[in-house]
Amino acid sequence: MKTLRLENINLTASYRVGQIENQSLKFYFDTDAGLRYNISFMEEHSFISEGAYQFCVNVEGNGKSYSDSKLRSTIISIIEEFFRSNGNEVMLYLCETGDGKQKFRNRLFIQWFNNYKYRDLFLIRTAEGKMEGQDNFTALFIKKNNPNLQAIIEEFDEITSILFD
Amino acid sequence: METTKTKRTREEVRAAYKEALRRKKEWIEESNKEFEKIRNGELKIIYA
Repeated sequence: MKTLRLENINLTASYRVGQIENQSLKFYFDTDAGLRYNISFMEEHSFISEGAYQFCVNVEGNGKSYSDSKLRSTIISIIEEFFRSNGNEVMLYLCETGDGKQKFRNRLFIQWFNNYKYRDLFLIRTAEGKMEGQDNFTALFIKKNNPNLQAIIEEFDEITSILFD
Repeated sequence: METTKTKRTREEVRAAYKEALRRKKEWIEESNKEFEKIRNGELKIIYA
């Protein structure tokens, strides 16, 4: 995977994004509401056989900032740089949705991406369902010009058709 | 060159999905520790 460039992210991100030394796939920023976010891309080779990166979000504290447009802009800037540097990679978002809040956050994230100005360049597949009594949500993001687009979409559809109860 | 993929069973797919979720939970734990280290000054965020 090619390194994501912090200077490119910070050209468009509304919050100033930083990193910890030697952690090239992790990004940090602080919001106006005083929340610190960690956004990471984690290699994932078990779920999709072609390989993908899990998109992970963690926030320090329990504050709310859902209506923060600067948060949306910053997360989109990080994702944009992921695909700018690695156009042929696949991004996966996997989540157990234990409560209504998590479901809301998942839908909000997809909604943010659907309003992204270059949304037409991407194909997004989502699936949700129960597994062993637990609600789950999964989404795949791939550029439409990915040379393996068809195979990856078919595999994702096949996997998610048998994954949930 | 064309390759032939073997279809995975539901059990195999579920095991792969659970493994991916397990790794994410591990990442969250690690991330929470890093937040604490940043707060304590043991890790420093670089902006350029």
